[in-house]
Amino acid sequence: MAASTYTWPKYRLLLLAAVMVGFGLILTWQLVRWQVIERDRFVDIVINRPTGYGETPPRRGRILDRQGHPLAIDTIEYQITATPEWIRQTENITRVANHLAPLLDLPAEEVLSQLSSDAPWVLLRHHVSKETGEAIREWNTFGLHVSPLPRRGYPEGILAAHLLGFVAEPEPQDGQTFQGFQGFRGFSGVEGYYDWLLASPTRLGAGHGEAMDTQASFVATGAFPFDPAEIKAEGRPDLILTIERMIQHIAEQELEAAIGQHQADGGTVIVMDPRNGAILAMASRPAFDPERYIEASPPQRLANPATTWDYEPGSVFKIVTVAAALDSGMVSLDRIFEDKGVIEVGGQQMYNSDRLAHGSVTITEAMVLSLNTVMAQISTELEAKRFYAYIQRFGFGRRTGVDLAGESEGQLKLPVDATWHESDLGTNAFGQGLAVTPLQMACAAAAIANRGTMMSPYVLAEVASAGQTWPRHPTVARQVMTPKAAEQLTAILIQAAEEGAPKSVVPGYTIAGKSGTAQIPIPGGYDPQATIASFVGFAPAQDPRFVILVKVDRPRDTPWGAAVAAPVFRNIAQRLLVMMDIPPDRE
Amino acid sequence: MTKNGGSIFTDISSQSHSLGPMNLRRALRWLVLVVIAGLVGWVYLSQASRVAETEHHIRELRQQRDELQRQNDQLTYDVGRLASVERLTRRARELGYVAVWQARFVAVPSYPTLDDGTPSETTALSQDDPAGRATPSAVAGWWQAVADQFEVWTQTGEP
Repeated sequence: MAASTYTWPKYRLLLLAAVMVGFGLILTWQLVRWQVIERDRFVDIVINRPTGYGETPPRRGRILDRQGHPLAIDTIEYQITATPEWIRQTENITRVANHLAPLLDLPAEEVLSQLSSDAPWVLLRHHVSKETGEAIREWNTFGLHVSPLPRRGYPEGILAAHLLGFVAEPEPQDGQTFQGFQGFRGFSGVEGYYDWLLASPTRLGAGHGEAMDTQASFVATGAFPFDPAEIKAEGRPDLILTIERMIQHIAEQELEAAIGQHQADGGTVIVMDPRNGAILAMASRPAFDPERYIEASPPQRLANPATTWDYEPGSVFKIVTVAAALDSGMVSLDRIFEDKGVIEVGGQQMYNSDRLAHGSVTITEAMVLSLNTVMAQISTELEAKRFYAYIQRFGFGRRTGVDLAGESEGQLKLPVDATWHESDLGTNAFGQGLAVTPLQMACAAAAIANRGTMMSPYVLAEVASAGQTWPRHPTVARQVMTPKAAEQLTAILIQAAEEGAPKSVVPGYTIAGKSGTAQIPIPGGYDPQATIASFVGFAPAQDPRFVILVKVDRPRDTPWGAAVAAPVFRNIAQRLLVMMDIPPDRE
Repeated sequence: MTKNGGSIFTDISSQSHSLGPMNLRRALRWLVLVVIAGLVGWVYLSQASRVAETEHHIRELRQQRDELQRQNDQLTYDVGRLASVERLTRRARELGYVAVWQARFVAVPSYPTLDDGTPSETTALSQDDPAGRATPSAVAGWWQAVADQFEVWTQTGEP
């Protein structure tokens, strides 16, 4: 009996200790499991729990004009989601649905049915305004989630819409949280080209590979000798463009006025600095609102007409033909051409636009009168090999390499192509049978203005991040002609502007330029009713500060470039000369 | 009181007595081991939870920073909207302003060229050649000449 009295408590104590140690071990093990072994899994559950909550979406870099005015910037909107079960625990869902419905612009029945569902979470509205989101957030309803969602804003509205491009945000599918749809992507223009710099890699989504290709090709140009990874490490960088919003506004205002005056379908204006290739303005109409890009109709309207759409340039292209003639030494300023009003090249007869013969003319007179027959004489004398070499040297038939997404090459048939015909040698000389982009044409004129040195066009002036800036350097594309030939051509273009397109002249300033009236090709020939009126010129002619290309599509009242496009050039040039403090260079 | 009539204190004292010195030492060793293991576990877990807490705090601060950055962007956007060139032009027109189409430049023959040299060059000039420096009296005289010329121009239209 005595033995049992002393052994029983020993086992009880041991049992108690074992139970306590066991509990302790279980507790310790669970803590180690949650905090150490399975930590990542639980963190993941917290971040991606099905409420629509999550990390704040990364912001996209801003786009600013040369003076620092914002052109594109992220704004706040909200996504409203709910966990129906949580709401049902604490609130009357009918009351919540009735409150929410008008704010979300949804029928109360629809909201009620969503809140009655057994789904772990429901998406009530993808995008609501800042005000609505903040009002709902203030209710502080348990189970109702208000998550910030970035939206790209363009404070200047449609200003430079084509140049800036837009950012597309695909709607999330059922069951996707913000983290589930990584599809934010810049399209077209600056947003498209610099997506690799503006967006965080997680927001590039499917376009990641393409963006990296653009980055590689941009870095390969050598214009930007910095490591993009180093810049991105500082945070999302801001892009400062060469565009100046006042110049852009002037270009758009004058273009719009001309389109209205001549009942035209649309048009394009490019203003660039010939000394470095910086684009100061690039305007096109019809435009679209980049904040409502989805409403653009037809969708082709989203493409930048200045770099994407090509057209037959017509007589404006004669500056390239004459440049080739002067630079090759084939033509001197006093050489006399015989204009019979018609010329046959490759079995095809070609006429002047006025269908008249002008007799003996110099190259300057041929440009003033815009004689097709003389241009065809020049190209045939130069012969195909030399003529097309010059056209290619001026950058036609290939991209200019401008830092804007969606640039096209234009259309240029070469003698090696099966579709090329001998008559093309004649028609190409006066801008028919080939297609160029407005930017290619502006760059060609800029090369002449810059004494034969063609600069690569660009829109990014510098990148800024965390108080640091990384400037982009202008780059020389190539020397297209000798400075002497460029000066001779400038003298010809001064006369061509003053006598051929007198409406382009700004009093007190020397203007050099050439107008063009191009026919529009249709299947089987040319549209007999419609033309494209254009003018390209630069000022002041002897020390050019800007090149302006004006193109007006299908003017209704008069077809001529000298009557439609030249006044637009004059108006823009006149305002720019004042704005840039450029003194007159003549009486 | 226990089932067999003794108190719990009696049981424990009897127990410790019955364990003997060897068993007591073994029990103490175990106790020390358990205490050390417990301490190590406690230190580790408290540190781990502090790290987790700090991480959470950092995340909150980052979110706060992002939120402020977003609000800043939103304000910049609002300011940009209000100061858009379209809106400013419209307002200026309402106030009676007009676009400048032409500027008259006045040629000033004795324009004192305060050259665009670097500050060091300017300093050198001022030290070595006091005569070449644009003194306040020279600038005042030049300004008077410009003002006179402007007055003539406003009256006659001839620069």
